[in-house]
Amino acid sequence: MSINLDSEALHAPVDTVARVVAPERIVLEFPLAGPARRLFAYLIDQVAIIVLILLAVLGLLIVTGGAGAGIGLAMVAYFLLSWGYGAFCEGLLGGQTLGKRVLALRVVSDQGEPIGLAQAVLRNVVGAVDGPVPFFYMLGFASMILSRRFQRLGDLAAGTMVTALERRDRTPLNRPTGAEVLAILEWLPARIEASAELARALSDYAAERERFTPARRAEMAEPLAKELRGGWRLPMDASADVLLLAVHARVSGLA
Amino acid sequence: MNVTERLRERQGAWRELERLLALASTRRSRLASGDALRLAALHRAVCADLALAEEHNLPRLTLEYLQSLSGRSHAALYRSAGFDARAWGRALFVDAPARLRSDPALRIAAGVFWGIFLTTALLAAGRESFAPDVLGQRMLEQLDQMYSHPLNGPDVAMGRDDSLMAGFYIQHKTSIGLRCFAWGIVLGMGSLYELVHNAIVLGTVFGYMARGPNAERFYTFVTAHSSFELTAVVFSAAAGLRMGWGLIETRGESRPRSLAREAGNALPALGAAVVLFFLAAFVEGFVSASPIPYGLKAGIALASALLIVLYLMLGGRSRTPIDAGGPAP
Repeated sequence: MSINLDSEALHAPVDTVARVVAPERIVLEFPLAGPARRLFAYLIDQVAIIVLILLAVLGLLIVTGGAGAGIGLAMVAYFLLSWGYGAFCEGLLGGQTLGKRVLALRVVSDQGEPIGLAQAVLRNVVGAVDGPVPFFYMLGFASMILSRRFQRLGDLAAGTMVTALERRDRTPLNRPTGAEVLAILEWLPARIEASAELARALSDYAAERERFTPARRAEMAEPLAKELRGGWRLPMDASADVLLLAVHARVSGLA
Repeated sequence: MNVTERLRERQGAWRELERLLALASTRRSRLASGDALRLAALHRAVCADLALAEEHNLPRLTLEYLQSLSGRSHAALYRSAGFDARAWGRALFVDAPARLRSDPALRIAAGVFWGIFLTTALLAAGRESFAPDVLGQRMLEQLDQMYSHPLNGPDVAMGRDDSLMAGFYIQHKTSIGLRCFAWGIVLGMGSLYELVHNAIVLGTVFGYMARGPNAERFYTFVTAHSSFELTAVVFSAAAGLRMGWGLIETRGESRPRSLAREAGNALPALGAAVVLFFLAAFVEGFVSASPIPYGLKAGIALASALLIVLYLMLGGRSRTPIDAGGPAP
């Protein structure tokens, strides 16, 4: 038997995830980093740039004994660091500045590939427009909100996006253990064809149910469980919670 | 054997891929060739696992795990080239002149700049009220004061230090050029504004100084680096216009795609502009204020102008359609 919970909303991609078709013919999903997270990375980078500039200036002045050449070189260092820090880190050190490393962010091309130096230079030079002068970050912020992938103007020009590096832990594909669940499984058909949306809803329920009280679980599970009980002539006394767990285990092939 | 059982057996391979990825990210050097091959094979296998898991409605947490794993191995596998000096040399000396030569943006930028520059220079030289109206009395006083001292010699107050000034010019003027390019993203209007602004200010100053008592000192100072610096301004504006044009003429692509394409096309010209700014800064710092005779300074200006013309005319013209040195495009 097949169950369908089709709805338009479920098909629409979530806007904080960028989907890219890889050469291996799968769809890679890149979680995108929003303005708040990037702001903290930006602040860390600004501090890093200031510290680097101070170190470079002090170093050059000490080495040259405060001569004019030292001040000249210090200005060149200031120029290179203020314009080149981001381009250097992102272009040559794997798409991450110090701030992005701390916050687990990474710049990639909008095809999900690591960016090249040319792209890194572009996004940082055009980034001058996104910055504090003259509109106090408003251009960059507006661009991030209006573009599909939280791209500021520098990102748009370079064809890049900032992704959040989310490391997910492997979850073991365990067989269900509870006696009640196993009992229900006896009643279920050996194979259930469910729509992708239903399968996702069931697995979300199974993953998140521990956070709720039994009463709340019953409230959430009951509407679906009522239909399932009727469809398969299951014992009416089985709790909705257990029933959904059993159906989830069967739909996802865990048992 | 059902899909879930098969994927259960694959968990060893997933663990191995995780280990290789950790290795690839901690060690800056490349993976051993055997590990790299293994990484590629495991990546393809995990992609297949992900496709299978999606097809058969496996638990969401498993899907998300496989997605993040395949995403990370994708990023590790499809790396960018890093810094390639030859590619950048090619961009500067082959792509940049070839693109600039055929780019209407350069002609527009040059026409606008020189047209306004010459007009305002003539107006400022011819009419007494023009320069004060445009620049303001305060700026003119500063200008007069700046050029009222000799450029060099023992009695220079605060001593013009050549290398100090060269560093200052690199920082100050190249930043202006880069910003002029960046503002091109506003449909090219920002670059045009910067270009017009610079043309008016520079033109008016040139014209105004001709009327004053410090004319000789002023022209002696600005001659040597003028070719490099004024061309650099025009180049960066042309690059900005080129990028902004990408938002207007999309050639059937989406606007962001088109913008990114033209921004990439504009980058070699911006690189050329930055090089010119640096050259101008060195000339301005070490030659312009030095006591060498004016003829030599004028010669440097002419030689650099000739160099730019030759660069634009001949750069990037290969003898045969396929360049003999590099790989075919």
